[in-house]
Amino acid sequence: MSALCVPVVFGRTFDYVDGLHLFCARYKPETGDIIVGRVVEVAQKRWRLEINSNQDAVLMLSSVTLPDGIQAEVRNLQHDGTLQLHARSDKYGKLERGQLLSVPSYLVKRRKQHFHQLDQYGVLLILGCNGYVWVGELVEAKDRMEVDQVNLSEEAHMKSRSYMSLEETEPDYTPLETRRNICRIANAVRVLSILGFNITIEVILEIFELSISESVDVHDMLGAEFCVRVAEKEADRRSMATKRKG
Amino acid sequence: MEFVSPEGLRLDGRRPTEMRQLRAAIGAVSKADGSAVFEMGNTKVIAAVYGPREVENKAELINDQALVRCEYTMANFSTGDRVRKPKGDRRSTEISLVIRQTMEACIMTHLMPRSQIDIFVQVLQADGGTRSACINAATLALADAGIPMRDLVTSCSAGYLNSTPLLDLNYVEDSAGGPDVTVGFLPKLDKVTLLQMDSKLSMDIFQSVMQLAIEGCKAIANYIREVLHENTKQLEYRRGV
Amino acid sequence: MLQNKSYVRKTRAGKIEKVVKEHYLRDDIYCGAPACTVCDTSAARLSPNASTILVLDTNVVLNQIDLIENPAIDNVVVLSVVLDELRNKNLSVYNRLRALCSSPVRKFFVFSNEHHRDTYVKAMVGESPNDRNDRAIRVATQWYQRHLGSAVRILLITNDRENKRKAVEEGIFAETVESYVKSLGQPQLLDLVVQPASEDVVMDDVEDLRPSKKKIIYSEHKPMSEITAGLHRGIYHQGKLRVNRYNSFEAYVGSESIGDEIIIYGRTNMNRAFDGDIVAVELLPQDQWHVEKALSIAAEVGNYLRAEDEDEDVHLVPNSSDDAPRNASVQGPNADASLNSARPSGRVVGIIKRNWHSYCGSLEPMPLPAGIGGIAHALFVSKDRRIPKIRIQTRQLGNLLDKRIIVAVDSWDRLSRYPSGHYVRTIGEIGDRNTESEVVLIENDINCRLFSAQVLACLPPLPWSVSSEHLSDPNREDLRHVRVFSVDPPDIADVTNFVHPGTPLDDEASQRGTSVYLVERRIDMLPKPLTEDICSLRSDVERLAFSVIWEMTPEADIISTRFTKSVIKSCAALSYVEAQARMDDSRLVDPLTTDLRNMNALAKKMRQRRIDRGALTLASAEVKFQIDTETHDPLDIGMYQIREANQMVEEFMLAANVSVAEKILKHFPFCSLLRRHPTPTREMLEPLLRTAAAVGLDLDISSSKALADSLDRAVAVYFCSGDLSPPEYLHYGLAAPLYTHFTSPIRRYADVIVHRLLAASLEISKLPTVFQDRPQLTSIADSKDVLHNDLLHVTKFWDIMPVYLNYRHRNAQMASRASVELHTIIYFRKHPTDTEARIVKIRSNGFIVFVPKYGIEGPVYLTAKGDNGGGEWVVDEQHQQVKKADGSVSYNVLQMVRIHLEVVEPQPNRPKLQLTLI
Repeated sequence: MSALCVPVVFGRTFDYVDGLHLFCARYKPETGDIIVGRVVEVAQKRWRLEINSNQDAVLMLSSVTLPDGIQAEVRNLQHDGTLQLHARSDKYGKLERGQLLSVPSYLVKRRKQHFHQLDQYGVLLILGCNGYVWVGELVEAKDRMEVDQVNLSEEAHMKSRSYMSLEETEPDYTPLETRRNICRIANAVRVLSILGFNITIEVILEIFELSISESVDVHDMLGAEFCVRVAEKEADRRSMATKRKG
Repeated sequence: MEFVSPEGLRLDGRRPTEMRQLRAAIGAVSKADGSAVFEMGNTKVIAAVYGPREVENKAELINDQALVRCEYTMANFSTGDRVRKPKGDRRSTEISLVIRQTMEACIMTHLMPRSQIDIFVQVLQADGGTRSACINAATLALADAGIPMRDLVTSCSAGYLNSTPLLDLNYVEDSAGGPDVTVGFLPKLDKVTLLQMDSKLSMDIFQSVMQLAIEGCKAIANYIREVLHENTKQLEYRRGV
Repeated sequence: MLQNKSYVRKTRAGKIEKVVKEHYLRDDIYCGAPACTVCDTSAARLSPNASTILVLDTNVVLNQIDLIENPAIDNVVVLSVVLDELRNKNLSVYNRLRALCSSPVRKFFVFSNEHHRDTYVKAMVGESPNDRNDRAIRVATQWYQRHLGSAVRILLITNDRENKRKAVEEGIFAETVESYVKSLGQPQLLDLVVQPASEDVVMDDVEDLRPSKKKIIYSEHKPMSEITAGLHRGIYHQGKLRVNRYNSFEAYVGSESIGDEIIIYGRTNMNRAFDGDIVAVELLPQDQWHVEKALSIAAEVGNYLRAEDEDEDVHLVPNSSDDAPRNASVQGPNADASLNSARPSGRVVGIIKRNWHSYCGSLEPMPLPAGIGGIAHALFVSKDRRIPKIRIQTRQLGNLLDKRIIVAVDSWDRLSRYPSGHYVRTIGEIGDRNTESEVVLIENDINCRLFSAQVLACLPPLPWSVSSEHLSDPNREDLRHVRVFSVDPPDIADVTNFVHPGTPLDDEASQRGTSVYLVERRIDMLPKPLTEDICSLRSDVERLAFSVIWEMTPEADIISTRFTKSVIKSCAALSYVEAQARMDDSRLVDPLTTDLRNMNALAKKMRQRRIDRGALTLASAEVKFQIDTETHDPLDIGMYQIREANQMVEEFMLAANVSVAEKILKHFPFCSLLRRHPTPTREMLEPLLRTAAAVGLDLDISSSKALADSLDRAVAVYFCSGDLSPPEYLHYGLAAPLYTHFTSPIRRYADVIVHRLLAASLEISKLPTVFQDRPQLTSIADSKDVLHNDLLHVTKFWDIMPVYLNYRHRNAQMASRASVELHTIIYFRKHPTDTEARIVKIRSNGFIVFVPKYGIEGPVYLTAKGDNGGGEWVVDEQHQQVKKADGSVSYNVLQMVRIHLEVVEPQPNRPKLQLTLI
């Protein structure tokens, strides 16, 4: 099957190749996708989220005031293309202390697992189906519960709670080591994005390890040299894979 | 002025029905959803496409199709004399409109309702035929962004000087003041989507000149197709599909 | 096919600006040798068995174009680098070389070396463009050498020593022009070789005729940079040099910066400038203006040249004085001092653009040199008196002495009194009528070739007749039932129905511009079948016409005007004489004659009204010859009789033209072809007024030279309506606010254009595309410039056409006049005559007379040549009278005298008519 981003002619009518969106830069929503979005508008009853798609998505009934990155699940696609999200589960909620990356959405495959709690590095990695990738500090379970509550509680109530929780958490800053790790993982994602490789947790960790084993500084990871190393590694991996197949 | 020598060579050594050298590169602007650089000889144009995305100005929102916007600019350094050009002058407004209409005609806007697509084209080097180069670059950028299109729209100009139809006029030939036909063409559908002409021509001559421009469009379409194929193969390979 | 190497070239012009141009190199440029095994030989032009192929260097082409045009030079490869250089340096030579390259009989092949992959040469750092081009020529030559192998000798012809040396070093055969021509073994070819003025080639064993070789005669021309600076600062004035037709020692430069004409006296001040050159002039100090004049006259009186160059010629009236002296040339020291001192005089400091071309004339008689076939130097005397003598070298002196020849000018250095040139070709024997006629045609740039097969192919098949198709055309009115008759220049044939724009026929007609009427023949604008059959409205034959139909009151007021294409059937084609005879014969009362009389009555009223409006009625002094049918020699000569019938036809033609002009101007306010005649200034009429005042006469006297001159100075011209403002459209002579030419499409191209415009305005046909582009540039300085542009390449129709037609029109008039003059001389050579003449102008040493019988005007000298009268004769300016000092004899202006006419030949090969008092 051709994978060109162009329509092809079947007889007299036009159809699109399934791969039409194979390399589409924008995200095409599907029900059940886990996505990361950015709040761009806060209204009385809903938030408007920018999710790298044709249109912004709508998250109804919310209680967090600070517009920031947020993760959610696509609930349904309305007829007019408006996107309804929900963040009812405790898994979803507001994200803080980390960075949001944007990669071509086609590089992120739908998988079972999109949350990755990398305990060994103290990092939370979320690969949103829409191409937004969150790399942040892995917060204690207790905090996460707080956040869960956020989703359910009233806005005003939350405000104070949030303050409280911030005050309560002893180290209200991220440790340097964790921040380094966050950056390293983020750069690993960036490298993959630059090279146009599929972004999976395995590969990210592989690159992370590679950078450490080759003692590449965080800021050198985006340099051409390291990219070449990653590409070589990928080539090795693929040839191994084909060999195994053969 | 002699634009075609009796030996059948033009000033730059081309024959009347030859195009200038084409070059194209995809993905020149990393932040954009799709982008491309397109060169026709010394004319060099960069195009970037953003979207489809949320409509910025809700008043412009169209319920059943995407809103296509286009902005054409000329870099200050694009011509021999470096003049600071005011933004939004008549010429660039006109060309913006022309590009927008041409692209709108081939984008399947109904698939992306209530959204907006922005096309930015900038002329980096101008040597005649900027309008055509812009359309070609925009096509490439749209394809790069994965925006569904009916067909690859391509454009090429042709003129009529020294009683000879000439393909793809360069600046010297363009400024001779002769007739200058710019055609936008959908090669698969065999349809003309854009037709502009300066000066006047008789019907039969016009037809031959326009036919020549269409041939040029077809050649450009083949080239663009090839470039896109190559690019897609690359991406595929990288992803390891 | 496309070699995708693009090169970047930078050029700097004025405001420093970088220009980048693409330059594609190709591998599909072929060598043009039919024997070549590698190349595509379908376009090959060189001869298959050529042993030598020539490659010419730019300067060789530039200087030796006459030689190259000789068929002896063949199998030439013309490099595109040479063509490019040539186009920049001299467009006319470029066009001539291009003509050679496309001529089927010559074997000239253009090799586009600049775009060939292997012969393109990139300028090296520090290399001048000239050196680079020379190198490109050598590289191309070398490429040919390698490409064609040893079978063919590739010979580079260059006169540049350095280039030749380098070529030889690189293993290229190279020769100078002279040595190559010598090797051909055709001595007469050597005459065509231009002797280089520079010291490049040593002038060996040449016996120099110049009396004082080392003497510097002329001052140096200022360098171009200095001239430009001077023009900016207003020290120098730029303009076109016009030499006085009657006194080649006097020239005028029309300067815009001064707003007046600058007079230049004497060859020294003219400083080697030719007629038509664009020159830079420096004004002489004001106190020298008058003095200078006196000095120059005095100097020239003593000069042996004076007699030859300064006497007034016998000529016909009205004189062809489109560029005649603005100030009638003053004879002798009694010149009107006040008039002269007011005019600025100057001297030429530099020549901005040369107007050299080739000239017709003959050699000054000289004894044959002892050695036969040796090189002889001779002086060439041009027929055109404004051109100085030209020195040429020849090896065939004996052959040329009694011939009319064409000579081209090459150079004029400071050391020589005369410019040097070279022989181009022979026309024929001097005095032979055919030769002299050809000279007339060549001098006026008239194409007398037969129509080509392509042109003739555009004609409808013969015998032609009106078809049903024409009759059923809704735009064509059937007027066959109307009583239509024609008197000489007939009703107007529908020529544009046969001459379609863009066809070879139309191209040819537009280049010819007009038919030319010589005494013994006519050179048609359109081929014979059209002029004499299809478009000739003969009696009892159905013909297509373009009609103007008026409805008039008995008082000749036009009630309505209608234009239509029509089919007519003329019931009578009358000549003027016949028409007049019918009108005069009171016994005839047939409808035709009645019509004639009615129309005549109308015409008289129209004429009267026109005269009341201030139109001028000039009795044009046309001369008519009776030609011997066999020998074509003139048998008799006389003034053309103007009858009432002529005036009648003229009146209706004028009315038609005016009506058409109004119509087309209304429809195409910016692109109508009109004809205007500027109002003469008071100054122009000055001489006439003085004459009139002297005898106390009204101004409407029958034509005299003064009035004709005055009016001719403001020449009627074609123009495009978009170029001028409506008040300037005026035709002064006819007192018509609008005028055009519509009535003679067979013999004038202007009328063809007007026909098309009119048809378009009636929506019968579409306006041809060329008409539609409105003029962008309104100032085309000179028709000559237009001529040098290939008309086919010109896109701006309205910029070119009116100027070109004016040029053609004037040339045709001059040619007819020259032809008449020629025949006058042939006639009077055989028949010296005594006749009556009228004095029209008084001079210090004689007077100018007009011979009504023959329409001739010329000077009668009372004293011998070179003798200023010695006070014997006194001029009375006030009464326009010349009398003997003792008062015994006096001559008044307009007095009748008897004179004797005969042909004399004061200078060899320049016969002229002399008038002497009996």
